[in-house]
Parts: sequence; C-alpha cells; structure tokens
Amino acid sequence: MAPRSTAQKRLLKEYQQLARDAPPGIVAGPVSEDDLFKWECLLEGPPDTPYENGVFPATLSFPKDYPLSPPSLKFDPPLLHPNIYADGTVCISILHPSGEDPNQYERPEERWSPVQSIEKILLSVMSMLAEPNPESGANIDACKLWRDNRAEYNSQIKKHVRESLGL
Amino acid sequence: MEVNTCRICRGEATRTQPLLHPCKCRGSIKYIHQECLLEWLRHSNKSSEKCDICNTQYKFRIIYDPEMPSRIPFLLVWFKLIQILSSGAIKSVSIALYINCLVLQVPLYWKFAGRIYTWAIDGQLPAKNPTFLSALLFGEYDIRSYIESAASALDTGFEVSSFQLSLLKLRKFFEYTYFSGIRYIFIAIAVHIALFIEHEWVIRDEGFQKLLLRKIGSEPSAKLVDLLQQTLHAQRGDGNNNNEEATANLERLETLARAIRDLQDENINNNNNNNEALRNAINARNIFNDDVNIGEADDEDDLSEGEDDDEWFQQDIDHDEMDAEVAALAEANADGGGGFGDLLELFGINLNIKTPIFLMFVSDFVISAYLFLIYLIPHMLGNLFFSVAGMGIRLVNSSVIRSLISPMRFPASNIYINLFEAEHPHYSLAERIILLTIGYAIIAFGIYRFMKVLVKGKKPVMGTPRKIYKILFEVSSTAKVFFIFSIEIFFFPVYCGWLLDFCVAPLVLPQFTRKSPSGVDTFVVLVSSYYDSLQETYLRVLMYWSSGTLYMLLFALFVGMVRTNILRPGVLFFIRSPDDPNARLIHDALVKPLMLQLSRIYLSAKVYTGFIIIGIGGVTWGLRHILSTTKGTIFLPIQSSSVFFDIILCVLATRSLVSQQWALEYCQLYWTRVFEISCHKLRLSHFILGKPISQERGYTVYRNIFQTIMATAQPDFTSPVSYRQAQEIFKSNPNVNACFVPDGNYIRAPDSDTVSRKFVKKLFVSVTKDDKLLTAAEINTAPSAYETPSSEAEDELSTDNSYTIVYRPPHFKMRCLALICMLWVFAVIITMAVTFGALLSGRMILIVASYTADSKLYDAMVKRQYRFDIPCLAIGLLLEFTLLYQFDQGRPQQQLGNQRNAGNEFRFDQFQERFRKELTYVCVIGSFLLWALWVQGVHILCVDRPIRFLFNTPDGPFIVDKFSIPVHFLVSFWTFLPFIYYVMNSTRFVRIENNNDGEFDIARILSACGFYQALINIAIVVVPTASLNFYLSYLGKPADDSRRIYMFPLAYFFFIVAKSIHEAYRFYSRVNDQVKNERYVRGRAIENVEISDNEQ
Repeated sequence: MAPRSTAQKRLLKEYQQLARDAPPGIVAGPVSEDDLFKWECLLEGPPDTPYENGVFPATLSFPKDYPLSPPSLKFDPPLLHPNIYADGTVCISILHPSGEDPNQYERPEERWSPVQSIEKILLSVMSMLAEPNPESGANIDACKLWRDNRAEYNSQIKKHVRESLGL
Repeated sequence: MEVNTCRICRGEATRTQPLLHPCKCRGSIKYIHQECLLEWLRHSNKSSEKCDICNTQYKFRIIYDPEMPSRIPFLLVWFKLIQILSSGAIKSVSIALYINCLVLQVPLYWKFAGRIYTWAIDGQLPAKNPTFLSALLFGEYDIRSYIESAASALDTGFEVSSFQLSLLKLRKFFEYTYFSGIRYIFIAIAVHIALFIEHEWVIRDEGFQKLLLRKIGSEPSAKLVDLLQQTLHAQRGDGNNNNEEATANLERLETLARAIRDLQDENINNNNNNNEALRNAINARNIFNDDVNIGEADDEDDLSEGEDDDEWFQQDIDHDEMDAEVAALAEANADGGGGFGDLLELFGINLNIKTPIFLMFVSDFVISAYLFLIYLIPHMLGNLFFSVAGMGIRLVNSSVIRSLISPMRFPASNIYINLFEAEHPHYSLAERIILLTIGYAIIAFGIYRFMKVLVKGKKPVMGTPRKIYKILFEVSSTAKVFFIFSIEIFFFPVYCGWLLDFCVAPLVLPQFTRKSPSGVDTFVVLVSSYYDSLQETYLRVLMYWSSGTLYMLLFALFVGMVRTNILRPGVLFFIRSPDDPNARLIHDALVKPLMLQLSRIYLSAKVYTGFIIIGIGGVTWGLRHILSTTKGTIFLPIQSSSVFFDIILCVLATRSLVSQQWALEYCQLYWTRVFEISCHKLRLSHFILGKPISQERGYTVYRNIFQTIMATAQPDFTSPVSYRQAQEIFKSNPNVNACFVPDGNYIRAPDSDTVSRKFVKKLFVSVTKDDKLLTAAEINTAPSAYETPSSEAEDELSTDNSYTIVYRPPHFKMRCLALICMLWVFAVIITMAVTFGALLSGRMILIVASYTADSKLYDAMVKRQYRFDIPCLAIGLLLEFTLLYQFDQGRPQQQLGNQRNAGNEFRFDQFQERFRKELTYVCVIGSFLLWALWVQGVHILCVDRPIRFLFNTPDGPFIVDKFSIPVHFLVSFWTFLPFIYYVMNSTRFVRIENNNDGEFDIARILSACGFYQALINIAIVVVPTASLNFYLSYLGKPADDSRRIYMFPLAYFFFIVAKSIHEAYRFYSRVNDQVKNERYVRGRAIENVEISDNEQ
C-alpha cells in the first residue's frame, strides 16, 4: 500500500531504518502494514539493573500529525517504575509535546521535536529503566519504594521479570 | 554515503521541494524542506522562530510579486495614506469624545445639575453670583470680589489684560466646579462600591435569612401541600368515574404529597429548589382548577432578582463609568493612540463617533435622575420638616427661644435662625448637610413604618407584600450595615482626628488667635484652623480621617502587643482581638439592634475621648501652660522651617526607624517592666500578669505612723496575721515593727480572650484557692458594665470556656483605675523623655553644625531665635536610635546576633554590582539634565526672549498670554514630549536593569535615556547659534540686537523643518512598505545559512 500522508511516509522510513539496523535490545514495528500508526515493540531490560533479562512488550501510538506531535508509549502489562504510570504509560520528557513549558521544568531541547525518532525514544526509555528520574515521578508508590526501600523494589521487579518470562 | 533527507519528514530533495539548511545544525539533521519547517513552526506556535537544537534564528526573505513595479505608484500610497489618516482621525475623535465625556463632562454636568437643583430648592440664585451663567460656573463662590482683589494685586503699573483675568477665572472655575465635581464623583463611586460589597456580604450572611424569615414567616411548604390536597380531592372525585390514566396521575401526586411532607421536616432554607421543581411539575401536568391561584405560590428565589430597584441600577451605571474612567487613566500611560484604541476595542468599546455621544446623553440623564433621587428629594423633605417645625415654633413663641440663644451668638444659633426662621435663606454647607440628614432620616423612618405595616398581619406574609418586604428588607439591612460601618470606619476616625487636632495645637501654634480676612482676631484651638491652606473642608476631613485612623491603628497595635506579650490571657476578654474567630463584623452589624450598636459606639467614643483629651491633650496643654513664660515659651511651639523640607526629613527618619525589630524589642521591654512595677505596687500581678506573688496577697501593718512613712521594716511574710493579732504582737514584742496582714480573695477569671459572653456572667465569683465557692448563692447574674443585653442568642463560633483562679485584692476597681493612671504616667514619661531628649540634642547638634558650616543659619538660630525644630527632632531621634542601636550591638549577642553581622564582609562583586547601578543612575540623571538644558534653552532663547523683544516687555518670569502659550505649546512637541517619552522609557529601563544581572551596556542606557538625541539637538541648534552669538558680541553688537535675538528661533525653525521632513519621509516609507506588503507579497522563503567548514 502506498504511503499517503507525511506521517505515514515518515513512519515507513523509520520502520525501514529500524529494520535495517536496530540498536541492541530493541525490536519495533507496526502491528500491521495497513495501520502504521500502531506499533508494537519489545524492550530488553538493561543489563546490571533489576530489569535485566526481562523482555517488556509495549505499544507505541502515533498521532495523525506525527512527527509534529509526539507518540505515546505504553507498557502492556504495566511495569513497576517511578516514571511509568500505573496503567503502563511512560512519562518521559522526550514524549512531551514541545512548546513553552508551563512549569519551566524541562528544557525545550529535552522535549519532543520532529528531529527525534522512534529509535531515540526507545533508547531513552531503556536508559530511563536503568536510571529512574524520581523528580518527575509518575507512580508515587514506585517512587517511594525506589527511594526508601531499594531492596524491596528490586525484588518486586525481579519477581515481575520472572513472571513475565513464565517462570 | 547516505542520501540527504529532511529532518522532519525523512524525505529526499525533489525538484519542487529542495532541501535547505537554514540553521547551524550539521550531519543527519542538517537539511529540511521549507514546507516541513513552516508546518512545524506553525504547529509549535512559539514566539520566536528558532531552531530547536542549535537556537539559530531562522532568516526569512519576503517574496514579492515578480510583477511588482520598481517604484510603488504614488496613487496607491496616497490612497493608503488617506485611508490610514481617516481611520486614525475617526479613532482619535472617538477617543477624544470618550475622554471628554468621562473626564470633563461627567464631573461638570454633575456640578451643574447639582447647582440647578440647589436653586430649585432655594427658589433663587446664590447671593454672591446673581447672574445665571456665573452662578452656574462658580456656584456659591464669590468670583467678583476675588477678581477685584486679584486685579488690584496684579495691578503693578501694567494694565491687567482681560486674558489674565479670564485665566484667573478659569483657575477658580476648575477649583470650585471641576475638581469639586470630581471629588463628589469619587465619593459617590466609593460609597456605591462599599454599598455593593456590603450588600453582597449581607445577603450571604446566615443571619440575614433568619431575620427575614422571622419577620415575614417562612414560606410554608404547607401551602403547597394544601394546594396539592385540594387538587387531589378534586381528582379523586373525578377519578372515581374516569380512566386509568387519571388514577396513575393520582398515584403520582400522592407520592409527591408524601415527599413534600418529608420536605417540611428539612431545613427551610434548603428546599427552595425542591419547591421550584415541584411547582414546575405541577404546572407541567396542568391539573389545577381555575380557582386555584398559582400566583399566590410565590418563590423564594426572587431575592437574587430583587436588585432591579433604582439604586442598584444607578450603581451599575456608575460602575461602567468607573471602568471607563480607569481606562481613560490607563490611556495616559499608553504610549500611543493606536495602542489605546486596540485596548478599548479589547474591552468591547467601539471606536466610532456615535457611541460616545450616546454615552454622553445617557450619563447626563443618569446623573440628573441620580441627583434628583439622592439630593433633591431628601433636601426638600428636610426643608419641609424645618418649615413645618418653624411654623410650630413661631406659633409657640419664638421670642423666648430667641432671647435664649441670641446673646450667646455661638455658630449653632446662626444655623438655628437660618433653618427655622429665615424667609429665603442661603444655606451653608453644614446647614445643607443637616437638611439632607433629616431628609434621609424621614425617608428611613417612612420605610421603617411601611415595613412595620407590611408585616403587621398574621404570619406568614404572602404575595406582593412579601416581595416588597423582601426588597425593602434587603435595602434596609444594607443601609443599616453601611450606616454602622461608615460610623466605625469614617466618622469615628474623623472625630478622633478632630480631638487630636485640638491636642496638637499647643505644641505647634505660636499663638491662639488668628486674623480673619475681615481683620478680627478669632480664637483658635485647632491646628488646622490656623493655616489657610487647610481651610477646604475636604482637606480637613481627609487630614482628620488619616490622623484618626493612624491613632486608632497605633492604639490597637499597642493593645495587641500588651495582650500577646505582657498580659495574662483573658484579662482583656472584653476587647475583641483581631484574630478572634467570633468577630464576625458583618453578622454582628446586621443582627444586633441598631440602638445597641450605637450605644456601644457611643461608649467607645467616650473612652477614646477620655484617652485623647486627658491622656494627650492634658499633657500637651499642661506643658504649654507650664513652659510658657512672660517672654515666650522655651520649647513650644515647635517651629518648622519649611513644610516640604520637614516632610522629606520625616520620611527619611521614619524610613530608618520603622521596621527595626530590635527597637520594637526595647519598646516591649520597657512596657513589660512598667507593667511589672505598677502591678506589683497595686498588688495586681496575679490578676493582670498571671504571676502569683505571695507578698501581694495582703498589706503590711506598721507599728506607728513613723514606721509607715519610713517603710523600712520588713514584715515576716511566712506568718500572716490578722490586724488585731498584729496589734497584739506590737504590744507584746517590741522588736517587731511590721506585720503582714492578708486580705482580698481569689476569684474565677476567664483564662482566654475568646471566652463566651454567657460564660463570663458566671465568672468573677469569690472562691477559695482550691476553687470552692465561698458563698453558694453569690453567682453574679446582674449584667456588668461591658456586658450588653442582647436580644439575639449569641451564636459564637468557637469559644474557649475555661477559667482560672486568680487573686483579687480589695478595692479592685480602684486599683484597676490606678493601674491605668500609672500606665499613662509611664507613657508620658517615655514620650517626653524621647521627644525632649531628641529636640534638645538635635538643636544642639544643629547649632554646632551651623556654627561651623553655615553662618547665616547660625545667625538665624542663635540671634534671631529662629528654630528649625522638625529637623532637630528628626536628627535627635536618629541620634537616640543610633545610640540605642550601638548599645544593642554591644550587648552580649545570642545566636541570632551572629547572623546579623554575617553580611558585613567586603565583596568585590557586590561592589561592582552596586557601582553598575550607581552608574546607571548617573547616566539617566545626566541625560535628564541634558534634556532639561535643551528644553529650558529652547523655551527661553527661542520663544520667551524673542516674544519679549517683539512686544517690548521687560524681563521677568515667563510671559503668559494669548500669544506665548500657543507658541510654547507648539514648541513643546520637540522639547517636552520627547523628554517625557525618554523619562518614561528610562524608568522602565532602570527597573529592568536593576533586576537582571545581565551584561552592562552604558551605550544602551544612554540611548534609552535619549542622551544622544539631546546631544544632537543641542549641537544642531544651540551650539552654532550660541557661538555665532558670541562672535557677534565680540564684534560689539549690543545684546538686544534683533539679529542676535532672532537667531535662535530661526535655528530652531530650521531644526523643526528638518525634523518634520525627516519624520514625513519616514512615515511615507512606512506607508510605502505597507502598500508593498499588502499588494505584492507572495509568501516567504527561508534563507540558507552558510558556515565555513572550519567553524564546525
């Protein structure tokens, strides 16, 4: 099927790029060739973190005006992490639409711009898994656990990893 | 090597869409399509069009129509010019009309309408201005004698021109008509805002609904139920022989009836909506018979709609006017008419000619109606009252009263004669106020009677009377609260200020007589009546109000300090503390009966009067009396050199004194000691301070009078005896000279300031130390002095009903009075010590300083006995506080003190920062000086001197006449206007410069202040002409040579012409560009940024 809109053209290009040489630990692609706006991806847990050895499925949903607006990333099943909401949606600055930040919290260059790409988003999420940012917490319980009781946090995640692998 | 792609769409370059590189980014994100970038810029909607990554500003090039002629046809520009000018003209005329309407017409029309009503009331024109026009323009003011006196004053050899006279008249017209109108309008606006706010508060207060329902009875839901029952009966009658639908209806209605019965049990206030819904339901089913009148079921909700009576209508209009006035004021700050026009359009004001003219007529009509209602009618009622009363008095026998009052000739007798007996009196302001007050009182009484009549019948009152009563109740409640508040906030401080005026008089007035204009010495005891500048009523009222408010504020602060820091909690339970949760001002003012509140205010007025007259006035007048000698007084009166200088000094002194925490600590320390000493002397330590001291629980009996006077013998406090035992001990044991005899008893006293009034009634009973009642029946049920009977159940929000056991010595009330007196003595001591110490040391310092520095000042001070007391006082106070501060610093420091010294190190960057700021100010002030030089030079050299030369008038101050004013005005376009522009520009600039710590750029500051502009102006006009002038005088031409005189205006004329041509050219090119942009622009294109490789 021939790509029509800019968004579809760009998504197709990015898909081709990712298929050609994907970074290690990342697999991503559209759910079906007909709908390029829904992607599935698998993220490997970064090594030397409690997420190690885990493989986490997530869905990327692109808006119709992509790449002007950022996509959203959602882990399914949800993942325990300070920057991931309880329903699995990832809260990370690269996924926030650009423009004047009302809180003056994130620098404009950290936020979404069309220069960014799916590959960069996924790499950022991987590094976010390795190093949570407790200052912009999305899951208060996870934040508290991460800050106050790291051992319990780690063991819960390991349990989740084992469960996800069906062990 | 990869193919270059667009960084947004990842597409490649095509023939129609080449890849551009508009920023400094390199690598994979170097290229971008123009379309993609424009779309992204549109989408991201940022204020600046910059690259997100490298922050390069994108550069755009405007693409013009290829068919655009190289020169824009003049005709097109001309049409555009006409278009701009005509729309600008309409806009500016419209703005001018708005401003005229609000700034000129409203106050003037207000005054004119008021004056015409006044004549209608009096039946004649004012005596001083018998012609209609002068009466309209100047009212009661005697313009003719003023003009005559002014003319004679001006008449120093020259003929007074009619122009000068009309200027004088214009000045008086502004004083007595325009500004007076503005004052009245501001008062009216303030009163209406206050009324509006209080109205909102009042109808939201819970007490309002309760009172209203008590007066008219709660609207019975029972009535609705009755209606329902009636219909139910009817339906049942019908339903017996009817179909099923009717039965179904019946059942529904019965459910409703049950629901209503439940509702009745609920709070009445909450069921309005339910009633409403019910009524709608009933109406919708349309089952009422014709004889059941729905109209009777009146709804509770019309409270909120009841605002359509006249007063609130007026108020809305006034608000509109005020808003527009604010906008008009804002215009003064806006830098151009265009911006202001946009601003007005933002507010929904159309800039056409019709609306402002319409607005003028509406505002005139509104003012006429408003004044008719609030001025004419009450005034006429007042007149009516006095004419009726006057007739009555004449019938009785006026000669008796006349013989009573006429010998005394105090001002009130004049008022009496004018009001009661004169045939065609010319009322003074005070008399008019009396008449108006009586008129309003009559109206209020009428409304009160009418409301009584309305609710006389059985309750609940229903139908139209209910509606009317609700509206009237709202109006009267608001009026009551407003009345109480206006007394408390306005009249009471004014009264206090008046008393203070009396008390300050002996300190300031050199003598107590004053020559009145007619040459008669009048006796004055008020400071404000001594100075001519304070003879305007509103000024005096304003002064009284501010000083009275200040006094009350300081008094409240003192009481607050004593209450929180010194006293035992619960001592001042009868004075509400400001943070008391029970202090609901609006609620109290609304709910408590009017007379009770007035009596409370009267009580506090008595207390304040006593405090001020005895506490302050006693001291000041006593001092004046004591210190005055035959030659004059030593200290008093305090002389002032110049008011302006004094005010500046006072401001400086207070700025350095106020908000010094350590000084307040010393103040508190003093008062703590004072309270300790006086309470100990009066044996009140336990009651007042909460410190039980066993020695205070009795008195010492001495052996004989000698011992009593000496009072050196110490009694044995450990073995208290009775008086009789003491006498026996004295007889038996010759060594004992003093015995301790306990007396007084313990009482229950409130332990907190938020104690409830009812609870207090049970307190102050004598108990033992272990809280056992001494006499069971001795519960104090009679209301005490501060307790006022209240018809309302006092529903206080939160009270802390706890009590404590404190010792009460005998003659408790006398001791409390004595305590107050002692406190007063201590207050007088500290005040006198501080002020006289300051005055003396300040005088000494000033004399010494003037001896060394300024011999003229020294002569004035020492030989001519002229004293600069206010500066002396300020200097002395500063000296005292500096000494105290040094003492404070010298004290062993606690941990807090270390922090105080931390910032004293010298830091270079701070110094630099400071230096920058100073330099900024120097630049700004220097530029202003240059501008002032320019302005002054132009107005003297180019306008004043040539005109003088032309009309052959001698030297003197600026000539002000028909010819010179327009010329000065014209010239000021190139002198004052830019000056003002630069002043405003630089103030904004200085503010920014002080806030940010960005780089410091003197050139920018100087250009913002217009330094270069002024320099260029002076260089163009003044320097060449002045040098030529110098050369001519070097050649020996006389100073009043016409060539020399006219050279400056000629230079200035060329300067103006050059400026105008320059401006016109700039304007033309702007219009040219506008035309170009409107007609020939086809879009815009992004420019590539080329950077060399070695920069990467």
